[in-house]
Amino acid sequence: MAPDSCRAEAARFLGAGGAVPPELAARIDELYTILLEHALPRTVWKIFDVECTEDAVIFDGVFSIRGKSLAQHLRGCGRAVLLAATLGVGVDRLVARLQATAMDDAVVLNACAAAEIEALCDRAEVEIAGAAAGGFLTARYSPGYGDVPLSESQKILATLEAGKRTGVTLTRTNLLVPFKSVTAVIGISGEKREGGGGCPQCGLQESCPFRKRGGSCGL
Amino acid sequence: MGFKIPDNRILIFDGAMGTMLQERGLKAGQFPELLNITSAELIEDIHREYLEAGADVVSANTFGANLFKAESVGRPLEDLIVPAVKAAHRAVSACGGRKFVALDIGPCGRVLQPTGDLSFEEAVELFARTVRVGSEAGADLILLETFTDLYELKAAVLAARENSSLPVLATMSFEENGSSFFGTGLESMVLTLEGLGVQALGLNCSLGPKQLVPLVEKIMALSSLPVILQPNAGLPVVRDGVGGYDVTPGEFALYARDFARQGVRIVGGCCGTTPRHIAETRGAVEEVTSAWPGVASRKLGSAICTPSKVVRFGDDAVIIGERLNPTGKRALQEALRAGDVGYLLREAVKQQEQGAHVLDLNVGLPDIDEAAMLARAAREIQGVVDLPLQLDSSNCAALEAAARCYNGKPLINSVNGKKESLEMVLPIVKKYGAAVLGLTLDDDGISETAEGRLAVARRIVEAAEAIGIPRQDVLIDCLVMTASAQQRQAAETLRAVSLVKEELGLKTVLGVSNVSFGLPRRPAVNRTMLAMALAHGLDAAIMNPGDEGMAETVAAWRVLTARDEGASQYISRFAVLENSGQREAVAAGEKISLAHAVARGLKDEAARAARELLAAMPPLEIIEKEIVPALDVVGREYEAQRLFLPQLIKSAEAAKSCFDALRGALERSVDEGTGKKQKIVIATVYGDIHDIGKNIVKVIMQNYNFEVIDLGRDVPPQRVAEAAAASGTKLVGLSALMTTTVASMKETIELLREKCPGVRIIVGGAVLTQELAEFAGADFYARDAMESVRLAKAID
Repeated sequence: MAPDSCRAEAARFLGAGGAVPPELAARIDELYTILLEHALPRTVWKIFDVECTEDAVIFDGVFSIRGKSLAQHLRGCGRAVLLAATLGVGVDRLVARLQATAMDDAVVLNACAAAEIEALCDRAEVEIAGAAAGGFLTARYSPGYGDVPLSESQKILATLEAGKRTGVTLTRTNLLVPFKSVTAVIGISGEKREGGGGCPQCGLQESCPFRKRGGSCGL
Repeated sequence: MGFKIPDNRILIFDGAMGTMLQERGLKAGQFPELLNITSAELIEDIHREYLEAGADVVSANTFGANLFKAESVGRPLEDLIVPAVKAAHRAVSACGGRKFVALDIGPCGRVLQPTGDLSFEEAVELFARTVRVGSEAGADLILLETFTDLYELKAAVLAARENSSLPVLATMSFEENGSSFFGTGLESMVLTLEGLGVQALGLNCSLGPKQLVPLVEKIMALSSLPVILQPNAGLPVVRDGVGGYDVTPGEFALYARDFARQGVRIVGGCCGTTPRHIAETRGAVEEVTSAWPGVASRKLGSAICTPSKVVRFGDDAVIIGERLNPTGKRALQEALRAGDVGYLLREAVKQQEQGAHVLDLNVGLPDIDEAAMLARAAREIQGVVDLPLQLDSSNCAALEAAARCYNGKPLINSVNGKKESLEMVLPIVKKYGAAVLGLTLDDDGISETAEGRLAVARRIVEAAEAIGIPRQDVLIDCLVMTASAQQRQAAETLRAVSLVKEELGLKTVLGVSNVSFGLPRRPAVNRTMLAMALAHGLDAAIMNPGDEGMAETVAAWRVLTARDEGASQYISRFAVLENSGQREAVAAGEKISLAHAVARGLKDEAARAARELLAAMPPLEIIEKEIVPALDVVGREYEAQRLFLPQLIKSAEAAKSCFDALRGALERSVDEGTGKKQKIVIATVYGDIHDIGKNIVKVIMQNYNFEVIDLGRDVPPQRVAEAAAASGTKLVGLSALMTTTVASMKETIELLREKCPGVRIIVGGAVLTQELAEFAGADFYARDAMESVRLAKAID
């Protein structure tokens, strides 16, 4: 059984944006259960003091993550969190297996996993918010958004020892493995911000799968 | 004198290097190995502290010193490794006594195929570089540690064994449930490492000593090699998400003493441990004087494995699925010649669902590169099915290629009593730590007596033991003969099974179905032979797990020998079967049209409807007038967002079952020249490993009756161009998920324009847009799979 919000999210990934047809909802519920049996969710995060320059954010005065868009996203934040999260390699294997035998199930499971990794990050944010002692969290910002190169994930993973702690690594072209993994920067600011800013400030722009179908992800 | 694990006392390793460096100011995000260049004295001091605390072995600061790391920091590999080994040696010399330096090697930071993008041989070569530099710099032993992927560890062990003569110690880190992030279980680790010839194996990192207690108990019961333990100093105390550790040096030492009492031979520390932990540990284990009894015979008996699944022979009847074999299967032969392993993957999953425990894999065809195909098929099957494989070939190069890249411990099928076979096959079994199936035949052929076959079996196991293969790793096939031709041989084979078990204590395997060749009602003969063989002590049957009679015989035998307690598995299996129907069963007797079956995604009904229509019209007309319009309706519903991707795919698959049903009739009409499938070559571009989108397009296009040549993912431009040229296709489809891989798409298109000027190119993928497609130089951008079909049809 999928949590309500995840069911709706998975359905949206499958193109069913409005009310979820009951048949599809049932398939999602069934595959969500299988997903959770195969997932080994892990998150690791750490809070740093940060300083934003014109085109980078410097962490603890030691290393920096490049990107004007990120520096802008974190403007006004004295601290930031680096986060790595994954559903584990068992989900990759499950999707591979389903692709060989039942492609329709594979796409539903893939959508469930996409919803679940976001839910996992949301749960980590609740913990982070607790540790951030009165600070407010910005939206998650991941390498690949805006002008932040994918290669910056390497720094996040190395700093968090994420390979050892969560099993998340990169390919030679800086794609995350396991597939359903996230690396992100979250700013901590003294004051609450308005919403996520919507499409105009998102790095995906025209390549967003929701926008291609005329919608938005709703953040 | 070289390093040797002492047999009269506990060997002490050092504790954490990283923790000590952090105390001295190393910040998160800095590479510890760079300090070998800039602060060798600091490294040397830390080693000296550990040696003074009582460590016998210090691990050089080379955990992450591999070629990837060296490239990322812009230094030659030698710069990271040589000064590290030298610094450790200086500390050892200063301390005096018999102390040693380990070349410390951790995971390389990249994941191996098929999960990641690093090939097995690339991984071996990467570790080999570190091993060669480290051995040359003077390391005394090699410590492979903190691995979570058994496959990567296998690559590292092979690299160490092939590139140095130093002793190898290997550890993995596990979760509390006894499994690693990659799903490797303790038993699989032990089986695989024992076979690969390490000196000691064990656990490190991830957990503290307290959490390791149950795992230590398990590993002591499994391992016949010395066990090494390097726990963390407890669990991380989470502060800000990453933190310190909760076990004091005194507590740590008490656990270490208990572990030593249980038989652990080597103790050290991982994250969070300090010279104080090591000093206390040294003192605490001093009193444990138990002598090492020597390498015991394998505690795990006769067994093979994948990382997550172990199959032991002898406990219960083992079913070895025989269906992955092209003999007599035309569709599989065609697929293998076309380099398409999809057929094998589906058949592998199917046999697992039917109850197989092991899968025999044979891809032997005279006109293919069997070594390359057996290795590739093994790798890809291991990506989707976790059953151990029996690698089946008469070609030694193929056996070696597949045994090398196999993840876990395979069974090699086969060796026989001929001198040449023993000399060629057994060294492969030994080197890759496999088990082997010995056939009781030799230069004189197959003996007609059980005693004659026993003699060959004895010769095989003696030859194996002579080169260091434990006898438990030799299984014997006493060979079933055809009862219609050699009737008295059936009883002789059964007697040979009993003799081999009693006289040699070896496990036995039989390919049962040969027995019925040439007789009517073959299943009856097969299942009777199987029942008799099981009664004679047969351990494993090579058979079709989908053969209901034989599967029932095994299930019933398990009830009658009290292996299936309370007959509960028997009852649940057959009671459920009798009540089950299709997920979307159609009411009995309901007639359903082809269009309706396709729309609802009902495969069986769609195929039945197609077959029925054959009586009324030729196959091409069924496609044009029935299947295609039905699919078009579904496609329109999908585009109108009244129906969604999973349903589209299900309908497409139902349509495919129609095509399959029509295949025979179609091939006849194609031969007559009335129609030919349109071809398309598809690939996920180089650098991109996300291929679900490409695979959706593949399914949909196949079901619109395109011939899809799928090159897979992470495909170099050259291969796309070659495949396009070789196939003579007019159409190529390329997929990319990430913005960064659009560059690779552009490169592929440029090469295609040069090598195959007439080809039209469709691109798609999550990140693609019309503008990016134009930037890459494609002819068309397809938003989704349906659009690919529409565009491709328009091109013809």
